[in-house]
Amino acid sequence: MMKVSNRPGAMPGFWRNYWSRNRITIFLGVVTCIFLADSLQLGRASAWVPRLILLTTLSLIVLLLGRELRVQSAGAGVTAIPDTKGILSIVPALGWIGAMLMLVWLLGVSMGLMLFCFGYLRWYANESWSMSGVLAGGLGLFIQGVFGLLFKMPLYQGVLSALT
Amino acid sequence: MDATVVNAALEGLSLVFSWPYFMYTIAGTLLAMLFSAVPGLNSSTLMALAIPLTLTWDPVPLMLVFGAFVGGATFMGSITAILFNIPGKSQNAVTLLDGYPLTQQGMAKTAIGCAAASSALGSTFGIFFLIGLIPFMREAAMLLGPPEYLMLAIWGLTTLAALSGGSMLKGLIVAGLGLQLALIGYDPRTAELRFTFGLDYLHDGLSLVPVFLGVFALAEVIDLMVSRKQTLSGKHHMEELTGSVWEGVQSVFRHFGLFLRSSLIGTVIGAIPGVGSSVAGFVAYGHARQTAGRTSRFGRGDIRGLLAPEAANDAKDGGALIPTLALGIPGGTGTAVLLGALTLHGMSPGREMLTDNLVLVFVLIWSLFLSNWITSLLGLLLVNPMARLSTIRTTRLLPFIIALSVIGCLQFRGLMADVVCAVLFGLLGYLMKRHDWPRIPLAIAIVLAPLFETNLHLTLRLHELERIVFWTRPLVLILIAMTLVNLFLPAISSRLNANRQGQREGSSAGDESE
Amino acid sequence: MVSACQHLPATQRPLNSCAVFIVFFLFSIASVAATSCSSLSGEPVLWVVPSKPGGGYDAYSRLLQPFMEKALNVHIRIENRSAAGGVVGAMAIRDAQADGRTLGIINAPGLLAANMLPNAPAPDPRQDFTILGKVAEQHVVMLTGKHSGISDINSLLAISRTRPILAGIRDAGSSNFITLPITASLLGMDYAVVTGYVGSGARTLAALRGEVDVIFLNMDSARRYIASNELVPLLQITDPPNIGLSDESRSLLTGVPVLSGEQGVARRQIDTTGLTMEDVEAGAVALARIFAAGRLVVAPRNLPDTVSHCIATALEDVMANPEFLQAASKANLGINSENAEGARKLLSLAAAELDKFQPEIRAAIGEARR
Repeated sequence: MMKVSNRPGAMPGFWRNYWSRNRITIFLGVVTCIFLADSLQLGRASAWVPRLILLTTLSLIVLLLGRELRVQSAGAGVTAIPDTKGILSIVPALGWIGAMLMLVWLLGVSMGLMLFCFGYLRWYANESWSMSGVLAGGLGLFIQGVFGLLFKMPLYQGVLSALT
Repeated sequence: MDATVVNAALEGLSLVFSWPYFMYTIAGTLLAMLFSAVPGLNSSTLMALAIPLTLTWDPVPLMLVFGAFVGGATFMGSITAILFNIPGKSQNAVTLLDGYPLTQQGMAKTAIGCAAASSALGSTFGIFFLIGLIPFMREAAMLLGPPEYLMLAIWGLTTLAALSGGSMLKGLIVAGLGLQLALIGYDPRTAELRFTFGLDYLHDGLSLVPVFLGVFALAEVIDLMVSRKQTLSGKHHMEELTGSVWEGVQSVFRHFGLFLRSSLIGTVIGAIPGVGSSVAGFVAYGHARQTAGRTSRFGRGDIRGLLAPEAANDAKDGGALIPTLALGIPGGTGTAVLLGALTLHGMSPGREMLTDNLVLVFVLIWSLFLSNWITSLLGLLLVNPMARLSTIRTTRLLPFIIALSVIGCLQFRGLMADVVCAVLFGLLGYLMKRHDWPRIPLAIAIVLAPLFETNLHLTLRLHELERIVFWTRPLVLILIAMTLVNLFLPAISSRLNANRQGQREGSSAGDESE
Repeated sequence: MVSACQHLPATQRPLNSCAVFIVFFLFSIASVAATSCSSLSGEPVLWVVPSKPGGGYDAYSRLLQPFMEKALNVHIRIENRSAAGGVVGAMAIRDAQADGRTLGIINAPGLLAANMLPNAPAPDPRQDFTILGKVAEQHVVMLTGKHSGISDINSLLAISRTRPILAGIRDAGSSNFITLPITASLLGMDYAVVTGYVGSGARTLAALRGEVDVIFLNMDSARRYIASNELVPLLQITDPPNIGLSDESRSLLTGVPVLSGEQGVARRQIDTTGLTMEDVEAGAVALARIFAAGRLVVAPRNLPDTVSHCIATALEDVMANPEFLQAASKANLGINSENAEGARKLLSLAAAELDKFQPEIRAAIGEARR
């Protein structure tokens, strides 16, 4: 491995590596800064506790980023492989969850979850039509039976039912 | 003990086991178990639903049913936490830290057995502690003021941050994030809106239910979908599962000292009005971890990490009744609803209740005791079918886990936005898990934030007015010391260990060169 | 309609048509009346309680719940939204859709006080709600902890001559911001406040621990603490109402002086305060009228008249129902009800009286928000 200077940033890919290793920390830092900026419009009585918490958190984030910088500089020469493949693998999962949200929002909790369950089992889990139908139907019955009939709790009906 | 108390206790016990009153406890317990099997639903919701239906009831059946609701609801949340990483209630969030890893290792039966045993025994401890404390209830409820509450909140935050595994700095940052998120909504003192960014949904702040379900349950769902893990336990048949119910039950007796201390923690914290039900389990877990030593596998399926919070969570029910019955000041939301029910029935918690209605008090206590044992015994009987769930293909289980989470979110306020919020927190929770960031400090911080903020204001104001002197209160000083230990001990220990390691290496290198 | 047909000869009257028209007209009136409440059936109605479970507002709401469900033929879901002294709960009602599906109970005097600050987020009960009726009136009592060293109002007044009296109160929307400054001005008492004690339980503990000298509680909440000798009642802020106070509460207040009136403590303090008899009487009348506004059942403003009339009528019927009154008596909850019209009048009177004390109340809230 080529020996490089210990100065941070001297190595090619250093900052890319740093970003890959500290994405979450940087994200949390950005969130904290946004909250801090929003706190500027609060009255004194409402603002001082939030600002105390936010500034403390921001200090800790800066401390952590600084420590990571030192660690990475000391271990110069090690390059991390960006984990893009791993991140993309989350897309199908999010897609199904998004579909579930749409179905529940449109059709209500009972029908929406039943349809989601059926679709997921049939086309994602590759279960048979009958198994998918039975499990989805069982879920619907459970929801209606326990919450609708036994506990008499109102079930979210969905926006389409409000239109009919 | 006073003869009056003993006689009232015996009379209450005989009422609970008499016909048909016995059936009220059974029915209440079964209803509470079924209800609380859904994440997000708890005994206070069930009690609130039951109040209008029971307005015309006599006091004895009322006490039996409400006692059963309180006792029957805790354990089921632990089951979903252990099997699916879904905390049934906020207090079960710490159960999943070691409960779920046990399931993943094929030891679901052991985990459920341990949870059942420590729940039943923990509640027994809490109840007998409560009975013993009846003559001293009032004094016990007065021990803590705003400074103690404040330090308890800070200590709780640092404990979980320090014990969150890996970097303490990350734990503290996540705790800070949790406090930030808890500040969203109306300022509790001035009613000024904070950090809502123009969204009406955030006016009421972030609710615990969608946040918890998202960060733990949905995060786990996403992880299972991405990882394509075949089954929760990695095993496909019941025979492949290791461990046993009996092993789980035995573990409580093997670690009996820890069990007793955790039960005591739960009872004491439950008795503190306004602290909330979640804190007991977290504190007990922190204590267990601190006293475990180097052999611990906390966070990776250490049975002690399950035993301690389970004992504390159930012991706290007895503790929470102390201020409720003695002073009419609820220990938490569940006891607040119970208090409302008692008031509507013309019963006045307080000295009057402990003198004129002591038998009814014991009916409530024994019903709570009995329902805890019924749920634990039923849990033990159902261990095999429940453990079997960990061998079922995850692709078949996931829709049901998602469904339970969605129902839990929607039944809370009926808002679709709560489900969206849960999904967003699920994504955050997944990313945190993937990048080795602890999630528990986020949860505990959101729970502790109101306690922290309110008591910070009160403490500063009372100190300014010279009504209290912060630095002379013994419990405050103890909690400050414990907080400092939490913050600095890990760093000092690791430095000492590094020095020792360096010295050992140095001396062995010197030996080699010779 | 009938007269429209009467000009025609009997043989020529299109009796069937007229009759049909009349029947149709009558039916449509009836159906409008029916559909105004029937429009609520199906979906549950949300009832917002601006306090934590177990408190006074919660107790009244849960007491009303089964009776209102029966009267309106709907399922009522109670939701507790406590924060900022009830302001948050009130906002939730104000901001809901005015379709009859969101109701709630508010502390009218507390909200009137909270409205006095500039840029106040608190809703104005006069403008932001549809008033449906009044359930109860607050009978406020000043109390101290049993170990405070303050045995009665005279010893409190003696202490107040040496240092400010420290009062523990709730937050922004609390009616304590009315009680405290007016009482203090009538008694010539200097005071300081500590806010943040949410719920009667927290305030009671504060008094018991000696963190504060006095607290103010509604008699419904204070009753159990007085009965168990945890708290000592020092002063009744208003005269006990003729109705709406349970017998037990009345008996617990025997011998506790009243602020105003012939035998009132304020009269005895005239030399200290420098007020005239007329000032003292005016203060007494003001307090009585302010608290007479009481706990109101409300809906968002601009509720359609038919729906509002239907719910208000149902509420009025419930509060006159002997079973409801019996249940309230059993729970020691005083009912001092008014119909929608009466409640609106009381609210206007309360607001008018409150305006006279604006400077004192603003000063109290400003001091609390430091």
